[in-house]
Amino acid sequence: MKKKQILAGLLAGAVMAAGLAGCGGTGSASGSAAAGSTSASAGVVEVTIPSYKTGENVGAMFFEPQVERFNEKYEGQYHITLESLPQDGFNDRLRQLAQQNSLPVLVQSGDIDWLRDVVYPNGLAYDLAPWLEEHPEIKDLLLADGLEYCTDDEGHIYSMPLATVRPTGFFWNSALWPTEADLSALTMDEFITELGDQKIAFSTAENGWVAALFLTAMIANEEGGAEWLQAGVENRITDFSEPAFLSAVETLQQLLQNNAAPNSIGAAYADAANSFMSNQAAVIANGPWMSADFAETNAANWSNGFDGADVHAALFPGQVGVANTATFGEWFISASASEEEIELALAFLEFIYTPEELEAYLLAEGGDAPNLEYSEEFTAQQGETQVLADLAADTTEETVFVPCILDVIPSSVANADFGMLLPSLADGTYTAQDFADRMTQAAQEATAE
Amino acid sequence: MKKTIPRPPRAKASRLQRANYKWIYLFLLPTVIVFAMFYVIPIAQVFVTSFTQWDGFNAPVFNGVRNYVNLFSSHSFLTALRNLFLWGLVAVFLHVGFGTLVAFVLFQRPRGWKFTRAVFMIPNVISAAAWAMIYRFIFNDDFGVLNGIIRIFDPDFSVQWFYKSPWAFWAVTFTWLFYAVIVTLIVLGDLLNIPTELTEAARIDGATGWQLIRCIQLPLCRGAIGTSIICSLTARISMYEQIALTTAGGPDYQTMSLPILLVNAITDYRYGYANAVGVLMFLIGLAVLYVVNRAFRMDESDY
Amino acid sequence: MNTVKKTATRALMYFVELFVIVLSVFPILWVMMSAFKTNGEILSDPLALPTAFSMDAFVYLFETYNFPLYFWNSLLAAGVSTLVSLLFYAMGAYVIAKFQFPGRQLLFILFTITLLVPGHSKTQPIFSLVTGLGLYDSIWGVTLVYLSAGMAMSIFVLKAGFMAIPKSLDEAAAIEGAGFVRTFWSINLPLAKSALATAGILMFLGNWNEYYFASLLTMSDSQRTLPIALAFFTSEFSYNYTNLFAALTVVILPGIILYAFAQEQVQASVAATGIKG
Repeated sequence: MKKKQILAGLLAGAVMAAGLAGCGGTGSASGSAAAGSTSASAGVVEVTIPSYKTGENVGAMFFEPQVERFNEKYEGQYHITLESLPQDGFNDRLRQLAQQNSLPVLVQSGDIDWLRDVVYPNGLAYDLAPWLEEHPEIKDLLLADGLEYCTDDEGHIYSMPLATVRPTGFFWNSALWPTEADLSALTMDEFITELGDQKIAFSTAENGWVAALFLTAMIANEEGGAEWLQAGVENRITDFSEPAFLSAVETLQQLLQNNAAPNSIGAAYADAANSFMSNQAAVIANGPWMSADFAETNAANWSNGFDGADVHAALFPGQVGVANTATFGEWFISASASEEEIELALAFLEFIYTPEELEAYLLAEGGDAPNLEYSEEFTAQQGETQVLADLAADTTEETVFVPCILDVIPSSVANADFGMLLPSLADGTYTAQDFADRMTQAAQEATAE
Repeated sequence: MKKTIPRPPRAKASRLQRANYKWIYLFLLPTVIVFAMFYVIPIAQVFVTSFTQWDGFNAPVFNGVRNYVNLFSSHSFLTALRNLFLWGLVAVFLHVGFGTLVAFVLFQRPRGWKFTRAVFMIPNVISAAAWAMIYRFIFNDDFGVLNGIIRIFDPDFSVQWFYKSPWAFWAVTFTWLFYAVIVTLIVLGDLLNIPTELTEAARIDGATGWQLIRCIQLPLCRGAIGTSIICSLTARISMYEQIALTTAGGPDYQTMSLPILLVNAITDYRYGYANAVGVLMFLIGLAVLYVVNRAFRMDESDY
Repeated sequence: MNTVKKTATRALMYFVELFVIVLSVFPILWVMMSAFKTNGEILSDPLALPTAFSMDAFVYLFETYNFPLYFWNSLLAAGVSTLVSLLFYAMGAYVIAKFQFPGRQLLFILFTITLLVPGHSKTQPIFSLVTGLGLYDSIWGVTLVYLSAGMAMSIFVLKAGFMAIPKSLDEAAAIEGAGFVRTFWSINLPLAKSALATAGILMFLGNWNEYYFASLLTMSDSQRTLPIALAFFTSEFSYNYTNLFAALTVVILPGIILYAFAQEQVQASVAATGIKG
């Protein structure tokens, strides 16, 4: 008898607690910005921003000095301290901080679903629209697609839209593959013929990044493929029976079987990059930020006679650049920040959107700011870095921009299923049709209501 | 418990026990507090929200058993269940078996037994994540140690252990299969606790080495073996890092596990679905606890 | 016949020992060796010894990251939480093992099912608890969470340990007039040393290696534990194997050294309880 009473009591308590925890998400706001502590001593506004673009991360090379430049410029007024966090679990933390209503003053990224479904509708972000109205010089720099995407029905702009686009293509090693062809002007078939038996460093582990880029380019080269991908930005793709997809997967399978560098199956990005930088593969697909790896300063990581100076870059055949312009930007400001903190945050955004900083960014990580009048100095410097010059030359009016396949399918399929299915495609266990069926199945399971 | 004790002492004992209640509950208090702080809400939340559609932030919407229906019609979930069953068998028979074997070997105190016992612990000093990373390198086709050794004999050998059916399942299994030091420690502890008089008595009665093991030592270790089986099985239910950092569940879902599904669902902001997976992991664990406890009569004291 | 059997048993025993040693030590030695190789050497021949013992990777790690501090934080969080929770769970397991009282079964079941709560499902409640207590980004918040980590395992192991202690000893103590606390503290606790050591080691190791909550609940460099440092070297678009292996070594080694020191103690306590029987 007593046992039952205790059990009932415990259960009642448990259910009540669950109710509290379930609805208490926004209500139990402690209010204090736990993640972005502020101290306004001696008139200096100081904030702490958690960021993964620090330390070992590729983004650190540019971002850390940029924050330093900001601190120098506003010395005595503003100060930003960076807390470096591992990228793994970064978004998890943001979710939890949002739930406690203690997001940092300046929030770096977070994934699209979360921003769209949680942050913006719940008023966790500061509206940038009035500020942008007051700063037409910045607003004019923004990508039109991006600005449109970031503006909601009521005219609010929560995410700072991007001013730059970084079309992703591929890198090739002219020492291994002395081709004279204008690679991005070829069709995909011509490209594969030109490739002969040169090796491509693929990756299939993690999210299969390198393979995903090639697959994206192949889809874009098929009839209706580019439109199919672009439509996925609005509504995630869950049906992979599209002929463009099937035929692209067939081509990918062919490449995986004939042109994959040894070790490509199961390779993480690290394995693919090492394979390219040790002369075991002539081609690797990746974003322009990889250009830093081919600079002489990184020579210690090269091996087997690899020389960064031999590396060229190109957009994908069919003049395809993988880039998504209709997307959220990198930053938003927390709505719970104090007035002073918001001033600092706006000053920071203004700072990183100055022409000098944008140019510095493009030089470090590649890309293009279509609405920016480049300085002569910039054009000269860009020309000095071979791969950046190559990509700039390839980016023309005719370039077709498509979003990466990983950005237009359900997150869990992009992060797990896609990479997991690739090895079976590569070893012939799956036909292209099987692969597409599995993708469809996974996507539908992942979105089942 | 069915001892016949004369009346008066029994009444006295029970009064003594009642006097003890204050101490008993006081002793339990810290554990109960820790339990209340860290487990009551999660357990309740997992159960309640598993019947809802919930993005983890906005209010959950009740949707009945929809999540469970979706789960049981999901290919990856059913494969994960099958894998769990297979891994469970491997855990009970091979993993615990190997740990017990090592315990019995070490109990005979062969030369170097202390060293072996000390060294066996090392893999457990390292996190599962680090260990999975190490194994990814060891099983690498190109520059992994394993294939490096095999190629000494067969220069053309090439297998991607983690990515090729049917090897992947066994490659994942290998990352934990022989690292059974916990089993060894627990069983060895019980072996060392067996009163020497008991063993001596058996010896005098003419029991040989194997008989001693089979009739005295093994039965007296059943609590330890039961504990080991529970540890090992619950570890299989919650196996995440070893898979996430190697195969991610592939190829062809052959290494899919329930926690991988749970985390994937969280990636998609489907906390209700994720918690339905959590509930099933919980129930399977409960069944394991119940069955093993019964099978090994773990609630009874031997002495 | 008998000698053949004996030799065979002996051979089997040595084989098991050798197998255990190779499997336990070789992968770690290989990782440590690889940390001294260049990226290129790692790729070209996995079994070759490093050509020049280059310490560059380690110099870089120690110049860039405050590893001694991470080590200290790990030790603090894992050590304090283990000691405190070991006492808590020993008390709980003791009364469950030795006494009959209302709610005994229920509590035991509740404590053991904590083992079955998936870690990721605890994220949100624990995060809100820790921030509510103002312990976000503090190593003490992490320590607090670790108190709860080994509950089921410890109660299990300790309960078995206390059950193995003959009841006659308690009765003898009672006759000599020992109270409840003294019977626990001076009679049962010392005799459960082996179970305490096992539970303590398991909890310490679990907490020492814990990554998920440590990473979620801390942010500043000053509160960081060792496993978090490792995550920096496996982030997206990093490819430096030498640094990764060096980081692995730096993260793994303190644990092994710590264990090597504690190992004597552990064995002594286990041996002591063994002799008692």
